[in-house]
Amino acid sequence: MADLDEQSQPTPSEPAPPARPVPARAPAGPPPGERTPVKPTAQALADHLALAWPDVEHHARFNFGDIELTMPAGQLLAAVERCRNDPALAFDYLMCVSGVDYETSIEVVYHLYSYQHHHHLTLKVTLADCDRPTLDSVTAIWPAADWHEREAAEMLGITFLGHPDPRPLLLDDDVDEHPLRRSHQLVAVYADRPGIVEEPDDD
Amino acid sequence: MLGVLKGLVTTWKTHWRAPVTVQYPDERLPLQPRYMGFPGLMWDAEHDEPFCTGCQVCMRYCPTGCMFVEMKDNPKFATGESKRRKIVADFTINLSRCISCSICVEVCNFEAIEMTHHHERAGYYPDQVAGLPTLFQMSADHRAGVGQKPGHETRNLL
Amino acid sequence: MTTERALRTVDMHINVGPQHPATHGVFRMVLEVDGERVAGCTPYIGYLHRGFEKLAENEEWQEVIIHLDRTDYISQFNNELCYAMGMERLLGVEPPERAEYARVILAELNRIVSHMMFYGAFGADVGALTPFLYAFRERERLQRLFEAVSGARLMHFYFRAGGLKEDLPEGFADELRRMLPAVQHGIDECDRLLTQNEVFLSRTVGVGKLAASEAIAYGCSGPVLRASGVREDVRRSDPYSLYPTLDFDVPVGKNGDCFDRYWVRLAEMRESVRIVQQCLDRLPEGPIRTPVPRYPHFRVEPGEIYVHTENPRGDYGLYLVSKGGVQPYRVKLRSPCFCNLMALGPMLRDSYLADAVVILGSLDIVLGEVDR
Ligand code: SF4
Ligand code: SF4
Repeated sequence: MADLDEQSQPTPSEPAPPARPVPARAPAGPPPGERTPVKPTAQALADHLALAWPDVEHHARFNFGDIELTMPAGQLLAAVERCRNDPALAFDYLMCVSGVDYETSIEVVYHLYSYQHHHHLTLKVTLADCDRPTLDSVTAIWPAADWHEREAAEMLGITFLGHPDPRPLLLDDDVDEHPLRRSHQLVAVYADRPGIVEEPDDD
Repeated sequence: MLGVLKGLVTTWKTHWRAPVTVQYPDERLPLQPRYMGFPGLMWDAEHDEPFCTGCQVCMRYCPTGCMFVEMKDNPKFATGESKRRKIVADFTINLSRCISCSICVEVCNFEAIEMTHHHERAGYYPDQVAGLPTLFQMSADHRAGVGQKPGHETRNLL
Repeated sequence: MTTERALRTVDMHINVGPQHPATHGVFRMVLEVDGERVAGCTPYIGYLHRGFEKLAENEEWQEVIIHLDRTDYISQFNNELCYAMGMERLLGVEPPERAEYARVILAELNRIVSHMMFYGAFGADVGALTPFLYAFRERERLQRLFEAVSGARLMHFYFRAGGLKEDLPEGFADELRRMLPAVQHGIDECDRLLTQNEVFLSRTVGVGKLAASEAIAYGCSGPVLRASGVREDVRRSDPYSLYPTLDFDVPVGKNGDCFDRYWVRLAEMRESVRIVQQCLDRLPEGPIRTPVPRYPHFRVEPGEIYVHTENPRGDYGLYLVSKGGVQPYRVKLRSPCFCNLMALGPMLRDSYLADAVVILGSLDIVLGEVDR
């Protein structure tokens, strides 16, 4: 058996085996994001950040040509204020605020763009406490964050401190689950809610 | 005054043009060959049995969960009339829930299901379930009406 | 004494929607009115929330496209383009050239269709019903073309990772080439019908002004932002697909009022015709799909990406997180209408109650995308 295996190995033109186990697959080379060439604007931005932000604890990497910063939750407000007010950064457009549940932690991702300098930046904050994730709201700096944060709050259960209007946005007022948590099952929860028809039996 | 005149000229011109509106239940616009209505099951005339083996792949991939498929042993396999070991025993599609997305067609490994031109399913009851005979009929009608295999290239894509 | 009584005013709350034709879907807003003036506005959304993001986590990568069609159900090709590009970048594949051209052609035609829809609905909002019929006549032409291409009038499910579902139908280029002058003529006709109309002008010029700084602060994008004078278009600022090689202008307004938002869209339709013309001239023959694995083996390497495209309504962004499985780990949709709608409050403040409908109409919201 072992011989057979070895023989079949070295032929380079052999197609990839069809069923690949999901987690065990070792990525070939760097992850896809780092194979993309870095944009010149992103390189300039990275150089500036390295000089200007010695006191903000952050970790930077390139992802699909753009720069991405990861920082602890406590640093967010300071970082965001600089992003907005530093004339070399001048991020005036908050494109998107996304919350991602990684089961062991929750991540909030801010995608920024500057109309002045035409550069992009991704800010990432990791919240270790999955039961009561708490983060400062950035609505005072970008009003655009308002609904995005309300959505993240109801969908993932993140509390945004200092948000001016923390009502639920898309869901009913009486929904107390957080649908976008990975632990939330798709159909089961709503079956006993009034007015929602059960999935009909297949047979 | 000028505006009124201009308006009248437009009205006059439009008056002599062929109408654009189609009076729907009496007249119908022709459907394009690729039109995707509801899915129907194809019939293998060579072996006089359906192509579908009841493998349930489409059922698993259907995003609305409107299909139900059952498989059985093919009696013709034992007699050597057919190469299909298994054959479909029961196949229902709840056409009221189907969204005509063509995912079932694209995941089918046996090219057994196709998007037909049937699309009118207005009725009085919420659940319009099409069973095996209806699904075969839909495909057959469609073939008779179109005379070609629409969307044939789209198979096995997803 | 009497004057004091006469001047005392009461704040009234008026509920608009959720099932009102003027709200373009199931959108509800509570307007606080002071006499004829709107003093405040509280929008309520979520009536059409279908949990797209949760559904996407439970579908295979390619299957998610059918749900994307149903988010912004007037510009489906643009949505599909965005997602297909995201998948392709994560996979590290490039679509063949013919597919790229076909995608851009369809996306731009879709922009025309979508703006036509806006044109008709906006006309109806200001009280002119005829434009609606004209717009739909023009729209129908292209809708039938879409039907011939993808097999569906609305939910196309046509773009895939690595290319297209199937080749463009035979004679597509000739048909479209024949059709383009008619489309152009239709746009001109619509322009003549409404743009110079005095009633229309008095209802829209100077109504619902949005300053550029405000538009930026609220994260507006697309025609709403450009009407305020910011020359910003994702096709130019973060170019994708073929757009760097194409020649087109980005029309901008000056005042940021309802008329400018209307005018910018009208001008964009003309630019779209130009783009389609250029793509048609260059449309190559060849394959339409870069082979990617089929469904049980379609996996995307772990990674994350934010892709955005310029949709008819603005900057349509998708944040895709992959953990290497057959399903996306997280799909977050940055919906342009959702963000534009945030600016509704500031726009409505101090406008007349009768103009509220016009202002809402000028944002061109699609509730399927706001609520997802
Ligand atoms: S239609 Fe195709 S996928 Fe569905 S059960 Fe039959 S053979 Fe299987
Ligand atoms: S077309 Fe789509 S919804 Fe309809 S049966 Fe097939 S997979 Fe299900």
